[in-house]
Amino acid sequence: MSVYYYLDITLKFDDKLQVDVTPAFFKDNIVRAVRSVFGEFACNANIDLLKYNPNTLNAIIRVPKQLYVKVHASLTLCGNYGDRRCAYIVNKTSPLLLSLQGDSRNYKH
Amino acid sequence: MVRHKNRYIVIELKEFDKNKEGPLHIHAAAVHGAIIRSVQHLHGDFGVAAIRAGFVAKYCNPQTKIAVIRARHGPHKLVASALPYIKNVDSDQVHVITLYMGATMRHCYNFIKNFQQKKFDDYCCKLKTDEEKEQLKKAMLNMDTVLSIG
Repeated sequence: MSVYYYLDITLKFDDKLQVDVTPAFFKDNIVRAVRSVFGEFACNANIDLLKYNPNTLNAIIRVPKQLYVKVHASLTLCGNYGDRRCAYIVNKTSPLLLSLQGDSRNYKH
Repeated sequence: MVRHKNRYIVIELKEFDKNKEGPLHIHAAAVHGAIIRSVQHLHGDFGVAAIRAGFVAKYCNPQTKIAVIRARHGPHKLVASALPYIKNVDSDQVHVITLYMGATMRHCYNFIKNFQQKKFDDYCCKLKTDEEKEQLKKAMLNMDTVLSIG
């Protein structure tokens, strides 16, 4: 099986203000969330931002298999981006990148 | 009722300044705080929440600089891994040496007793009168704090 897990996530803000979230800041916020919940020990592994859409704040990240549960938990508990309230929505996760392609959950009729 | 396993860790606080001799007076709450801070840094909120239940840290003897920590079995690994990263307790620069980890208070008690006896013997060589020795013995072999952990 794959050594990585892929997560399709969306960043949602509490207020409707439009902000530019660069890929670097997006990743930084994820790493910060992991560090705050699981400390320095969990931060040693690589979290990669594979695809990022700054307009919809949708991203696909890749994490090592053994860190997947911790990252998923941290994203759920993450509540702020800088000084703004935010939330992460995990749309789909999979150990295979290809299976993120066909997703009926976000399908609009 | 479910039995809780505990782990007791005996640590020694060594002062950063090696030339400094004599007793090191630290408040027990400061040792507790320093360990929590270290766990917070290394294991985050999760680590602190895991060790909180049943966590006790007591500074036992300013002469021998020994402290005893009680932690639940399981999260005690988080405590043990965070101990070497403690740099200061309150305003004192110290480093922590883990001397012993035991499953019962009794074993820890025996270890501390032997350890303190050994230290006492070392110090005794320098003293001449019996009165001084008696005084030092009273200060160094004081086990009241260890017994109060329970």
